[in-house]
Amino acid sequence: MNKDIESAIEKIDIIKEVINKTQKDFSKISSFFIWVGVINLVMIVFEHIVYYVRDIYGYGSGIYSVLSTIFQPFVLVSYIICYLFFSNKMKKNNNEISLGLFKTWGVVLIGSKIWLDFYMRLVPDGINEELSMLWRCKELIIALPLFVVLFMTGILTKSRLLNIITGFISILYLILFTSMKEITYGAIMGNIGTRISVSGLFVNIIMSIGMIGLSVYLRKGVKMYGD
Amino acid sequence: MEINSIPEAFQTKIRIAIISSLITGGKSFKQLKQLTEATDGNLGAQLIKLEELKYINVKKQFIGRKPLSTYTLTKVGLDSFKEYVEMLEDCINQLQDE
Repeated sequence: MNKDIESAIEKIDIIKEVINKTQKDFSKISSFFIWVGVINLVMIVFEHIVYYVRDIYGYGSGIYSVLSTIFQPFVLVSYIICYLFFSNKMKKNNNEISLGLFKTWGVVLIGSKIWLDFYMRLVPDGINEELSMLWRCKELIIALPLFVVLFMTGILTKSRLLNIITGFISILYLILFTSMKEITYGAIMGNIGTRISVSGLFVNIIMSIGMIGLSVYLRKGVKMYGD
Repeated sequence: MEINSIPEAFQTKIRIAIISSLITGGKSFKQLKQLTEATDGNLGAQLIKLEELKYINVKKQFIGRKPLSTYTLTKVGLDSFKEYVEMLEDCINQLQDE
């Protein structure tokens, strides 16, 4: 083989190898997950404040009305702002796996919130067994796509650990969902709060602390600080 | 670009590795060290050379008390890299034709 050709092949191999290594850098997308986690943590705090205000001032109070109106679109609007903010950064990063993951997560997070809102508008008001079952099923709109996209993240980042954890939490979620157990939620400083399913609370934990954990995991090994 | 007239920036493997790693965005010295598997001294020398050739830019700042140097590819560097890869492709295509 011509010496020039051998040299060309060798250099192409170097370029491929280095670019492949850079594709394993998930530091940019990990920042996105931190923000998703923070948004959900703020949402939990906000939700507690709304329940507190409701219990103190009552359903008919102006302050409760204002807070509950702001609360409804809070997460969706925050997700959209966060997605737009990171969109440019991710494109500049030129990391195809990260960009693919980012778009998928964006569609799942924003899409499931829109579907949830649409679903809740469709479910009629009232109290009976069928309706309460329909209300309970609303959390599946968030949970099912979440587990699918978590598995996708594990596959694309070639992380066996992430896939094992996702498998474990999805089984745990299924057990909690079918157990139909409920707990008091939003009760701070002695107020009543509300009753939510344990599985719903579990989803809240994954979306807040879980997302921050995922971010730390993806950032591991790609610390930017210092020379 | 002819294979006999390869620019100085692409004449060593480490410089090729540095430029390839900067294709996907700015990198710190530490990240470049991991990606190129070069020693501090060698990497530093090659980065200075590439900076002199105007292929890369360096932004130096402090994060807390620690220095952070971020290296990015310039337009000159990017255009030359594209030209260089095309030249390598042409070279290999020629072999297939033969």
